[in-house]
Amino acid sequence: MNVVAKFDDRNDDDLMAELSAAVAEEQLVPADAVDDARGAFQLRAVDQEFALLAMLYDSLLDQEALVRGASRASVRTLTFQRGELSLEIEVTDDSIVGQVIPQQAAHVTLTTRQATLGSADTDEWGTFMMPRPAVGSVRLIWSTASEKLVTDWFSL
Amino acid sequence: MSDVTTNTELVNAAARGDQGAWDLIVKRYLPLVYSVIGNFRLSRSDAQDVNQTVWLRLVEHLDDIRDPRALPGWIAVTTRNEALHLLRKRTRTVQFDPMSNPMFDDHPQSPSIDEDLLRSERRQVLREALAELPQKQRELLLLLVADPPVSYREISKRLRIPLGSIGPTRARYLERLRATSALKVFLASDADTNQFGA
Repeated sequence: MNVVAKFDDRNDDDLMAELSAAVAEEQLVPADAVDDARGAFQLRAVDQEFALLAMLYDSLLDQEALVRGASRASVRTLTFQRGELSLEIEVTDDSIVGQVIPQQAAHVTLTTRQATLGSADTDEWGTFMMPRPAVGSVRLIWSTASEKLVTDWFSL
Repeated sequence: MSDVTTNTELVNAAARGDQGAWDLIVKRYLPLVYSVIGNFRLSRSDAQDVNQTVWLRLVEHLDDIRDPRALPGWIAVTTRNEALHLLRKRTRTVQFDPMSNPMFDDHPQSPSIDEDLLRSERRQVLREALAELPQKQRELLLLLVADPPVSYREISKRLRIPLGSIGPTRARYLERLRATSALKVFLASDADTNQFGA
């Protein structure tokens, strides 16, 4: 609380200082960030056809794995889940290997907001592999007979 | 949307497909995203990736937000996590000194999410309060906090008000600012924690 509670709105100079910080904070935001954030909403119409697998685990954010030194290795693992269905992927410097559990025959696509970066078919164990693109906000999409599925967005 | 629209109203409207409500959520919380990003040493393009991922993920989770009052917390934590993981990825690939631990060295002073949230919420309220003021009042206050600073003489010339009246006018407009619904609602909702020093 300390730092935050110091400010006193009854004092004109304090209020002006805070106002100044408030205005500066908004000016720090680059213009293209506003466009990106607003534009994200346009995917909502598309997204409503899809069932979402939420991100459950990301080794890059795993404190214990960091202590063990696991994340220093060049493999990053991510898990997405929706009910009984899950998708695990391993991202290395040059590839993305994934497995849909339980096994599904599917054509899995890696996309950004604008473009498809890669795609692959699952094999008899539900696993697939594709080249890993450089960087960006991406997600995986695939369809089954009954539904269209999509993972949470993640940054490569 | 009225001057003081709650997060609950905004989230519900956005979940029904209202782009205007979404844009207001963006206006309200984009500075929070960037102030959290500012705690990390990220390149401009990494910052852009983090920002994009946060908003894309929020679009998908609009229907899952059970308590929209938790929205700023969700945004702050998601931003921090995304920023952290980009930072770790970069420090992992650019590690010259095996004795240093970039994970801990890189942001030892990074303030807690709670502090970020409180500060950012207060500033957001102030921006909304400022937006509520009539243009003339807002203009003077904005000139007074401009960066780089604008001299009183210049302000007097631009707004066509006598030099000597700027001080008293500022005091009067700050009173108006305190009386805006944005500030009053904030002070009322926060009376127990005394955030605005009221």
